[in-house]
Amino acid sequence: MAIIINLDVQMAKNKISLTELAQKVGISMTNLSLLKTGKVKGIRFDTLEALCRELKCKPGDILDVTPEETP
Amino acid sequence: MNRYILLTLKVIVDTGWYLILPLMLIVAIVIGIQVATAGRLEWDVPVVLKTDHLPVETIDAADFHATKIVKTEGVLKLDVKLTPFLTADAVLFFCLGVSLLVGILRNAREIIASLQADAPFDLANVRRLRIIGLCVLGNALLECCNSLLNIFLFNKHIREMENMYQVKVVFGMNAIIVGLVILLLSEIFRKGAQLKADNESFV
Repeated sequence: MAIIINLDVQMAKNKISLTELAQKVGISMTNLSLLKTGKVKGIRFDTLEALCRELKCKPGDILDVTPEETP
Repeated sequence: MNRYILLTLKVIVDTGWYLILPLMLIVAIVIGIQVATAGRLEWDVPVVLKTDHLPVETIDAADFHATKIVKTEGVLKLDVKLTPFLTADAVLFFCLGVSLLVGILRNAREIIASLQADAPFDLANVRRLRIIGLCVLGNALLECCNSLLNIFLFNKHIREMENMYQVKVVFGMNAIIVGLVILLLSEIFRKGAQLKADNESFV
Protein backbone atom coordinates (compact mmCIF):
# COMPACT_ATOMS: atom_id res chain seq x y z
CA MET A 1 0.00 0.00 0.00
CA ALA A 2 1.27 3.49 -0.83
CA ILE A 3 0.01 6.84 0.37
CA ILE A 4 -0.67 9.38 -2.39
CA ILE A 5 -0.80 13.09 -1.56
CA ASN A 6 -3.26 15.04 -3.66
CA LEU A 7 -2.33 18.42 -2.27
CA ASP A 8 -1.68 19.91 -5.72
CA VAL A 9 -5.21 18.95 -6.86
CA GLN A 10 -6.82 20.63 -3.86
CA MET A 11 -4.57 23.70 -4.28
CA ALA A 12 -5.61 23.97 -7.92
CA LYS A 13 -9.30 23.63 -6.96
CA ASN A 14 -8.93 26.43 -4.41
CA LYS A 15 -6.65 28.48 -6.73
CA ILE A 16 -4.11 29.02 -3.97
CA SER A 17 -0.35 29.22 -4.36
CA LEU A 18 2.24 27.29 -2.33
CA THR A 19 3.50 30.48 -0.68
CA GLU A 20 0.03 31.63 0.31
CA LEU A 21 -0.98 28.20 1.67
CA ALA A 22 2.26 27.91 3.64
CA GLN A 23 1.61 31.30 5.26
CA LYS A 24 -2.01 30.43 6.09
CA VAL A 25 -1.18 26.96 7.49
CA GLY A 26 1.84 28.24 9.39
CA ILE A 27 4.53 25.89 8.06
CA SER A 28 7.58 26.67 5.97
CA MET A 29 7.37 26.67 2.19
CA THR A 30 10.13 24.06 2.09
CA ASN A 31 8.12 21.67 4.27
CA LEU A 32 4.94 22.29 2.29
CA SER A 33 6.82 21.67 -0.94
CA LEU A 34 8.22 18.41 0.50
CA LEU A 35 4.71 17.40 1.55
CA LYS A 36 3.32 18.22 -1.89
CA THR A 37 5.93 16.08 -3.61
CA GLY A 38 5.44 13.23 -1.10
CA LYS A 39 8.99 13.43 0.24
CA VAL A 40 8.01 13.32 3.92
CA LYS A 41 7.60 10.38 6.24
CA GLY A 42 4.48 11.68 7.94
CA ILE A 43 2.11 14.55 8.60
CA ARG A 44 1.02 15.84 11.99
CA PHE A 45 -2.70 15.97 12.77
CA ASP A 46 -2.57 19.73 13.41
CA THR A 47 -0.91 20.32 10.01
CA LEU A 48 -3.54 18.15 8.31
CA GLU A 49 -6.31 19.96 10.16
CA ALA A 50 -4.95 23.36 9.09
CA LEU A 51 -4.60 22.21 5.47
CA CYS A 52 -8.21 20.90 5.47
CA ARG A 53 -9.43 24.16 6.96
CA GLU A 54 -7.65 26.34 4.40
CA LEU A 55 -8.46 24.09 1.41
CA LYS A 56 -12.05 23.47 2.61
CA CYS A 57 -11.76 19.71 2.20
CA LYS A 58 -11.52 16.49 4.18
CA PRO A 59 -8.33 14.53 4.98
CA GLY A 60 -9.38 11.91 2.42
CA ASP A 61 -9.31 14.57 -0.30
CA ILE A 62 -5.63 15.27 0.44
CA LEU A 63 -4.48 11.74 1.26
CA ASP A 64 -5.26 8.67 -0.78
CA VAL A 65 -4.02 5.12 -0.76
CA THR A 66 -3.14 2.88 -3.69
CA PRO A 67 -1.99 -0.74 -3.76
CA GLU A 68 1.74 -0.97 -4.43
CA GLU A 69 2.69 -2.35 -7.80
CA THR A 70 4.52 -5.68 -7.57
CA PRO A 71 7.70 -5.79 -9.67
CA MET B 1 22.88 24.98 34.86
CA ASN B 2 23.36 22.99 31.68
CA ARG B 3 25.31 25.87 30.15
CA TYR B 4 27.72 25.92 33.12
CA ILE B 5 28.35 22.17 32.87
CA LEU B 6 29.07 22.59 29.17
CA LEU B 7 31.38 25.53 29.85
CA THR B 8 33.25 23.56 32.53
CA LEU B 9 33.67 20.61 30.16
CA LYS B 10 34.92 22.94 27.44
CA VAL B 11 37.48 24.52 29.78
CA ILE B 12 38.73 21.08 30.91
CA VAL B 13 39.00 19.68 27.39
CA ASP B 14 40.55 22.87 25.98
CA THR B 15 43.07 22.87 28.83
CA GLY B 16 43.99 19.32 27.88
CA TRP B 17 44.24 20.28 24.22
CA TYR B 18 46.28 23.46 24.64
CA LEU B 19 48.44 22.49 27.66
CA ILE B 20 48.94 18.73 27.83
CA LEU B 21 49.78 18.26 24.16
CA PRO B 22 52.52 20.93 24.06
CA LEU B 23 53.74 19.49 27.38
CA MET B 24 53.99 16.05 25.75
CA LEU B 25 56.00 17.62 22.95
CA ILE B 26 58.39 19.22 25.45
CA VAL B 27 58.72 15.88 27.30
CA ALA B 28 59.46 14.14 24.00
CA ILE B 29 62.15 16.72 23.14
CA VAL B 30 63.75 16.52 26.60
CA ILE B 31 63.79 12.70 26.52
CA GLY B 32 65.09 12.79 22.94
CA ILE B 33 68.00 15.05 23.96
CA GLN B 34 68.72 12.84 27.00
CA VAL B 35 68.75 9.72 24.85
CA ALA B 36 70.89 11.35 22.16
CA THR B 37 73.49 12.66 24.61
CA ALA B 38 73.65 9.94 27.29
CA GLY B 39 72.22 6.94 25.43
CA ARG B 40 70.33 6.03 28.61
CA LEU B 41 66.77 6.42 29.72
CA GLU B 42 65.00 6.34 33.05
CA TRP B 43 62.46 3.57 32.74
CA ASP B 44 59.48 3.25 35.07
CA VAL B 45 58.42 -0.30 35.83
CA PRO B 46 55.27 -0.72 37.94
CA VAL B 47 55.89 -3.37 40.59
CA VAL B 48 53.88 -5.15 43.24
CA LEU B 49 55.69 -5.28 46.58
CA LYS B 50 55.56 -8.37 48.72
CA THR B 51 54.02 -7.35 52.00
CA ASP B 52 54.65 -10.45 54.13
CA HIS B 53 57.55 -8.80 55.94
CA LEU B 54 55.75 -5.52 56.59
CA PRO B 55 54.67 -5.04 60.22
CA VAL B 56 51.08 -4.21 60.99
CA GLU B 57 50.40 -2.14 64.03
CA THR B 58 47.58 -3.56 66.07
CA ILE B 59 44.93 -1.02 66.84
CA ASP B 60 42.93 -1.69 69.95
CA ALA B 61 39.37 -0.81 69.17
CA ALA B 62 36.10 -2.44 69.94
CA ASP B 63 34.85 -2.48 66.36
CA PHE B 64 37.95 -3.24 64.30
CA HIS B 65 41.59 -4.21 64.38
CA ALA B 66 44.27 -4.34 61.67
CA THR B 67 45.22 -7.82 60.51
CA LYS B 68 47.64 -7.53 57.57
CA ILE B 69 48.69 -5.52 54.51
CA VAL B 70 47.90 -7.51 51.42
CA LYS B 71 48.88 -5.36 48.44
CA THR B 72 51.36 -2.55 47.94
CA GLU B 73 52.27 -1.09 44.60
CA GLY B 74 55.26 0.96 43.57
CA VAL B 75 57.34 2.09 40.64
CA LEU B 76 60.80 0.67 40.09
CA LYS B 77 63.07 3.26 38.47
CA LEU B 78 65.56 1.68 36.12
CA ASP B 79 68.43 3.47 34.44
CA VAL B 80 68.42 1.64 31.12
CA LYS B 81 71.12 1.65 28.45
CA LEU B 82 69.11 1.89 25.27
CA THR B 83 69.34 -0.79 22.61
CA PRO B 84 67.61 -0.36 19.22
CA PHE B 85 64.81 -2.64 20.48
CA LEU B 86 64.29 -0.66 23.68
CA THR B 87 64.40 2.64 21.76
CA ALA B 88 61.79 1.36 19.31
CA ASP B 89 59.68 0.12 22.24
CA ALA B 90 59.85 3.48 24.05
CA VAL B 91 59.14 5.54 20.90
CA LEU B 92 56.28 3.26 19.80
CA PHE B 93 54.51 3.25 23.17
CA PHE B 94 55.00 6.99 23.66
CA CYS B 95 53.67 7.81 20.17
CA LEU B 96 50.72 5.45 20.54
CA GLY B 97 49.85 6.90 23.95
CA VAL B 98 49.98 10.48 22.66
CA SER B 99 47.97 9.52 19.54
CA LEU B 100 45.22 8.00 21.67
CA LEU B 101 45.17 11.11 23.88
CA VAL B 102 44.97 13.35 20.80
CA GLY B 103 42.15 11.18 19.46
CA ILE B 104 40.18 11.54 22.69
CA LEU B 105 40.72 15.29 23.09
CA ARG B 106 40.12 16.18 19.42
CA ASN B 107 36.83 14.29 19.27
CA ALA B 108 35.73 15.57 22.68
CA ARG B 109 36.31 19.16 21.48
CA GLU B 110 34.23 18.51 18.36
CA ILE B 111 31.41 17.00 20.43
CA ILE B 112 31.42 20.02 22.74
CA ALA B 113 31.33 22.34 19.71
CA SER B 114 28.29 20.45 18.38
CA LEU B 115 26.65 20.73 21.81
CA GLN B 116 27.24 24.48 21.78
CA ALA B 117 25.71 24.63 18.30
CA ASP B 118 22.67 22.83 19.81
CA ALA B 119 23.01 19.90 17.42
CA PRO B 120 24.27 16.95 19.49
CA PHE B 121 22.25 14.19 17.85
CA ASP B 122 24.29 13.96 14.73
CA LEU B 123 25.79 10.88 13.09
CA ALA B 124 29.19 12.62 13.22
CA ASN B 125 28.92 12.59 17.02
CA VAL B 126 28.18 8.87 16.97
CA ARG B 127 31.43 8.36 15.05
CA ARG B 128 33.32 10.68 17.44
CA LEU B 129 32.02 8.85 20.52
CA ARG B 130 33.00 5.51 18.97
CA ILE B 131 36.51 6.83 18.35
CA ILE B 132 36.75 8.09 21.95
CA GLY B 133 35.52 4.74 23.28
CA LEU B 134 37.99 2.83 21.13
CA CYS B 135 40.81 5.19 22.19
CA VAL B 136 40.00 4.57 25.88
CA LEU B 137 39.94 0.81 25.29
CA GLY B 138 43.12 1.13 23.23
CA ASN B 139 44.80 2.96 26.09
CA ALA B 140 43.91 0.13 28.50
CA LEU B 141 45.26 -2.40 26.00
CA LEU B 142 48.41 -0.33 25.50
CA GLU B 143 49.10 -0.20 29.25
CA CYS B 144 48.56 -3.95 29.51
CA CYS B 145 50.89 -4.63 26.56
CA ASN B 146 53.49 -2.26 28.02
CA SER B 147 53.46 -4.06 31.37
CA LEU B 148 53.68 -7.47 29.66
CA LEU B 149 56.63 -6.20 27.65
CA ASN B 150 58.22 -4.94 30.88
CA ILE B 151 57.91 -8.45 32.29
CA PHE B 152 59.49 -9.88 29.15
CA LEU B 153 62.31 -7.32 29.22
CA PHE B 154 63.14 -6.92 32.89
CA ASN B 155 61.71 -9.74 34.96
CA LYS B 156 64.68 -12.02 34.36
CA HIS B 157 67.05 -9.28 35.56
CA ILE B 158 65.19 -8.63 38.78
CA ARG B 159 64.32 -12.22 39.55
CA GLU B 160 66.73 -12.23 42.48
CA MET B 161 64.44 -9.73 44.15
CA GLU B 162 61.37 -11.89 43.61
CA ASN B 163 60.77 -12.25 47.34
CA MET B 164 60.61 -8.42 47.60
CA TYR B 165 58.68 -7.37 44.50
CA GLN B 166 57.42 -8.52 41.11
CA VAL B 167 56.78 -6.65 37.86
CA LYS B 168 53.10 -5.75 37.86
CA VAL B 169 50.71 -6.67 35.06
CA VAL B 170 48.62 -3.53 34.53
CA PHE B 171 45.07 -4.42 33.59
CA GLY B 172 42.97 -1.26 33.42
CA MET B 173 39.58 -2.69 34.31
CA ASN B 174 38.20 0.81 35.02
CA ALA B 175 39.33 2.08 31.61
CA ILE B 176 37.75 -0.94 29.94
CA ILE B 177 34.44 -0.26 31.71
CA VAL B 178 34.60 3.46 30.80
CA GLY B 179 35.41 2.57 27.17
CA LEU B 180 32.47 0.16 26.99
CA VAL B 181 30.13 2.75 28.53
CA ILE B 182 31.26 5.32 25.93
CA LEU B 183 30.61 2.80 23.12
CA LEU B 184 27.17 2.20 24.63
CA LEU B 185 26.57 5.97 24.68
CA SER B 186 27.52 6.16 21.02
CA GLU B 187 24.77 3.64 20.24
CA ILE B 188 22.29 5.76 22.25
CA PHE B 189 23.39 8.79 20.21
CA ARG B 190 22.87 6.79 17.00
CA LYS B 191 19.31 6.04 18.09
CA GLY B 192 18.87 9.73 18.99
CA ALA B 193 20.12 10.79 15.54
CA GLN B 194 17.64 8.39 13.92
CA LEU B 195 14.77 9.74 16.02
CA LYS B 196 15.78 13.29 15.16
CA ALA B 197 15.84 12.46 11.44
CA ASP B 198 12.39 10.82 11.76
CA ASN B 199 11.03 13.83 13.63
CA GLU B 200 12.41 16.24 11.06
CA SER B 201 10.80 14.31 8.22
CA PHE B 202 7.34 14.97 9.73
CA VAL B 203 5.56 18.17 8.71
